[in-house]
Amino acid sequence: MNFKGWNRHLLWLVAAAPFVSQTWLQAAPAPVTAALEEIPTFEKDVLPILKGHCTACHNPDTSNAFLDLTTYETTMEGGQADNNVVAGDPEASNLMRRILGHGGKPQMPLGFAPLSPEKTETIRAWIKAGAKPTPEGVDLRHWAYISPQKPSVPEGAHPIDYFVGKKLAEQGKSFSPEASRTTLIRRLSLDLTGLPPTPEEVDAFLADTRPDAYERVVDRLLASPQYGERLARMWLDLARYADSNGYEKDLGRQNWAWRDYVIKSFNADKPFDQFTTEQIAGDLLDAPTREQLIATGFHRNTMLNEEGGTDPQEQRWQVLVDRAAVTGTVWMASSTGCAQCHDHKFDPISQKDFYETLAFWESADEPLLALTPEEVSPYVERIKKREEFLLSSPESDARKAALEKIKNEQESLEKATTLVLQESKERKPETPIREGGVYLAPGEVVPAGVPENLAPWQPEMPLNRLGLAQWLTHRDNPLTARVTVNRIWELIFGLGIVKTPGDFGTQSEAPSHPELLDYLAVDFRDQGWSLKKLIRTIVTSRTYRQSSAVTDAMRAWDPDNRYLGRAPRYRMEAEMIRDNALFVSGLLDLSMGGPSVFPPQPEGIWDNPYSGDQWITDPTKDKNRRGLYTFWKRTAPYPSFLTFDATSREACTDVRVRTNTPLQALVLMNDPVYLEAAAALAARMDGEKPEDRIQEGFRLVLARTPSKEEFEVLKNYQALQAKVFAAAQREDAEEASWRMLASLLLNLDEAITRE
Amino acid sequence: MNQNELDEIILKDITRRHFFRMTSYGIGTLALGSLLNPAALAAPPVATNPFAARAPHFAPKAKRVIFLFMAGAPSQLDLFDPKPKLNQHDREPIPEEIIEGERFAFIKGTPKLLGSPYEFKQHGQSGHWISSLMPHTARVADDLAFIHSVQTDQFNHAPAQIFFNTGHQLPGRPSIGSWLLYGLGTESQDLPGFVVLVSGQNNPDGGKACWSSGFLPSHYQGVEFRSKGDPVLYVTDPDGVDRTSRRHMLDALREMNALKLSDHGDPEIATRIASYEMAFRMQASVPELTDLSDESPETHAMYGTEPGAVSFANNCLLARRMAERGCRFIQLYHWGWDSHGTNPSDDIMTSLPERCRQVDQACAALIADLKQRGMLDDTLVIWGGEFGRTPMNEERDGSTFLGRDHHPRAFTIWMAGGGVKAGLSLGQTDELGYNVVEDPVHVHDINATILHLMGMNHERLTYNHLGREFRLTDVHGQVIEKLIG
Repeated sequence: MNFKGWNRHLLWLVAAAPFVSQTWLQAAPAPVTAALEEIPTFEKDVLPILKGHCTACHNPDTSNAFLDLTTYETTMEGGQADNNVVAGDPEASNLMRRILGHGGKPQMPLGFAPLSPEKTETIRAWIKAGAKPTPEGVDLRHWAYISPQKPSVPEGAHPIDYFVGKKLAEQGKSFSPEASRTTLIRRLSLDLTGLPPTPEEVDAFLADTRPDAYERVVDRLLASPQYGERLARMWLDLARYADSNGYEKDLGRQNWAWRDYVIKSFNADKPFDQFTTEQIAGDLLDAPTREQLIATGFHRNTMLNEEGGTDPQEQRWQVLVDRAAVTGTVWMASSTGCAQCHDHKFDPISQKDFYETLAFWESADEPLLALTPEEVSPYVERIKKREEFLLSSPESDARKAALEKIKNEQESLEKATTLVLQESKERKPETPIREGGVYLAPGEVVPAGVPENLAPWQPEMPLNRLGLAQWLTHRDNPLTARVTVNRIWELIFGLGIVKTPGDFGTQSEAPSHPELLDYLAVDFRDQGWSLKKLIRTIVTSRTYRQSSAVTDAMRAWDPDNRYLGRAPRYRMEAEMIRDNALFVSGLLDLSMGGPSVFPPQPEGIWDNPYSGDQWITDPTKDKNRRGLYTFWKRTAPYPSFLTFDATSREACTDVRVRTNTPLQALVLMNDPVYLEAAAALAARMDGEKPEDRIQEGFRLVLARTPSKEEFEVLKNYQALQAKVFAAAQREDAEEASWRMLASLLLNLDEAITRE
Repeated sequence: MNQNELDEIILKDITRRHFFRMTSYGIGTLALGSLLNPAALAAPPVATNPFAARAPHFAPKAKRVIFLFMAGAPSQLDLFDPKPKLNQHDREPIPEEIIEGERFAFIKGTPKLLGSPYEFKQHGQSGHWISSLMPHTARVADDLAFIHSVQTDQFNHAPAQIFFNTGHQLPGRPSIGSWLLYGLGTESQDLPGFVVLVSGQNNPDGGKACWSSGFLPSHYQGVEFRSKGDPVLYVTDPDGVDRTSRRHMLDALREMNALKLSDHGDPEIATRIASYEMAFRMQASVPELTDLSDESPETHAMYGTEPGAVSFANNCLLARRMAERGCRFIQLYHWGWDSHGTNPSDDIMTSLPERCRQVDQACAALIADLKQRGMLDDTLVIWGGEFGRTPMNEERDGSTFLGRDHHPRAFTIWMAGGGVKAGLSLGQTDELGYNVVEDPVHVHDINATILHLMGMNHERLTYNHLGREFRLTDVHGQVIEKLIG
């Protein structure tokens, strides 16, 4: 791709932009001379903006004000006003004036938000530089649709630091200092396993003076089984994995064997191309293994509507649309769903393309695959242990209910199944185009196919799902590697190099570091699609190891940290928050895999009129399994996860938003899970003296030791709380105050933050 | 901690009661006020409070919405849209040409027409036709605007309810309350801005997707006030932690977070501090809100509330209290209108009158109460279900109970207050009540109009998701100008 073009263009934007705050201008004088050379082109830079904001009204059909902004020629020609574009003079150009709202006429686009300053400046710069047509030889395709080439990196330089550093230097900036070692090991542990380090692990790292001490921690964490669980969360969101069918009845389903397949694959560092192929077409491989069959459960995660009166044809149609659209989002970051009803407005995906990609799924049958006794035996064992535990505990209603439930679990495990795909013998991979996307309006029948303007279909590719997988992972495919690298970047840095991991289309924001994205993508593909190698490259960079501390000046200069002049700091994901509280209090059960579990949740969350399914809280250790094993009911997900921005998994989620609300505070203060964790944490805070207990608790939760001020606040609080409780004549005033202190620690902003 | 202690904690069916293992201790009543320095409590400046009230696109007619959602789809033909011709041809087969090519949820073959067994009368100056099943609603007829020509795309409950609320039949899009909260924020900073109250035998079929925030940030989703346990999840402190102790804990927490903030500089920490202070206020304001005991006996009698019950009437009174306290979008669901006629519990002779008794008085009371408090002018009240019911008797499997199948082609809703033309009757159906013949109003149009009355242009209230600007009305929707007073 044309890196020069991108760099230049971004650089230009920043340099010329009058909207940037004064502080910033003072902080970093812009290289103005560079800016003058960098000229946006009509086709690549200006036209996408016009298409995004103007051509709905100003096109050859509607041509409001006789103006057509869909081509260079007509844009130059103008409409009612003949001074639409005055080459070299933005201020005299009607196009510019209307966009800015100058000249007493309403600002365009009429009835919509004005253009962003960046977009306005792009158009202004193009006019100012002569409003020329796009020069010959410029590849007009959108960057994401051109195969990435590996840019060169100087000998011995870390590729990430080279590209990030270059950009910072252009801005007259540099990296932040390295974070402290305690911050680093906590950050690494959270990023790679979703769990914090133990105080022992922290001590070992602090004491390790070998030059590769850091890399050793990285390798230990990448080899830990919790690594696969950490990555799986992202993949389960994309695959809309849940333990229920969705819709009105929302009955339970079994597809946990697929969830476990995902975790095992990440832990085994299965090459991503193979991981892709198995999930899309595992059943079509030669002599597929059990694992490869189970892998096809990816697209069985679609919802199933069992409401009375539902048209089965409509239900089937929705499943097919979902499979085609989710494939587009997950591997191609393309919003193909638009083309269900009409050609994509912006991206090169025609309605025909959409139906061709949908046709791959027409010939897939949907059987159940019975799990073998070997496959379920570890979970049978675990159930037995839980049963023994319950039998040895005192009689109670809860115990009785749990024992009954365990019996049901045993029975259902004996006949456990998982959801898979199987190529049909009758149906072919072809489908009628539905006019306007309405399933009752079948039109011309098209065979399966792909948008070949992205990458050619190779003659050796079979025209079925296996061929689709081969096309997605072919080295000429410009999207799959970039999209995957960007997702991993987003997982670690909290924000992708492309901000929208599910949309690389022409309307998406340009990558912050296009060369870096391409370097990592090509490298990822060439090194054998290893996610662990990719992650190792990322976390060993200086960019990653920076401190996340931020000053007002830094924030004013780069509020979203797009230049990466500091490490990001962000709140943990829903499951991680709970996992962490359970882990630091010593309660977390690290058993892996198997049927989903039922930790305590408030009564009345499951009250579906159309299903008898009941949430029976598991009083055994299973209630303290990692969050990703919690039974995920689409119409009633685990409430505290929802509060912390997990989604219902009814549809593919490519980015979880991160919010900060009072309801979250209520969860951490009062959800019994966190109270129980606080109680256990208080009991775990050893020490003769109160000082020792505070130190111990602080280290367990935050991995570091408290500052003097922090220590004082905690000490005073505990003493005050003990006094208040004693004044109230509580016999356990002292211990109760420690529980309150432990709860406070779990409520700290830092306790739920990766920094 | 040894294994026994651990096991004990694990085994314990933990509730808040066990947090301190010992229960029922009253804690000394240190006066809360003396402990609190108001200046110290003031929330630090927060860059972006997602709930802060924001300016609408243009001057609004309504500041808040109370949406009375009749889940299951009430029969317009037995309540608000009388059809003498239908009664005349009662139990005669419907002319084939009307149903040619039609699909029904349950009806098979050629069904027979079903006249309404209920008497209709005109009421008030407006002359609205209202059946004998809704005597209280009839009393406030002149405050209501009826739309008899509503149409939807969906004819099963879950998709139709989700469609009405989100503009799309599949779960995953933001609901109208979420869109409004996203666009306008809320005037109440101590209560959720989008509240859902559920009564009736069951939850709505569409479930939480009806008040989901979809791809909008999740803090915009509807907060369901629960009838059992905490009204808002986890709002109650553990036994043994009174307001004083909670305040102490939060003071120390704030100090700790403030130290972190000064050390680190991340403004999210300031937002976190503010969130905790808001949570503390919410802990006081939620119980105050849900405690109906300070309402006068007259008010209780007017609504027909039952103390402690989960009832539509109680929820209507709660809705008024929420409206007073600045909640932006208050949605009530009352389930049980699905009158198929397969047995007495879902027919139009026994079940439908029962359902009407459950809602009629409280709906009328809500309108009258808002009016007497001067709040009806800027509160938009909406009453309706996800679709209508057929003019034909369903007779599923030869059932002898009277009932009607789902009917998306024509149904009735009413709206009141908030800039709506009181007394208006909009739209007409044909003489059998099958099709709309005048002023068709699509669900998208209703949603566009609700946003319009709240001062939002439905084409401009958008959110970029997966590369596309989405809006509540998808690519449809026309504001119903005739409806606006």
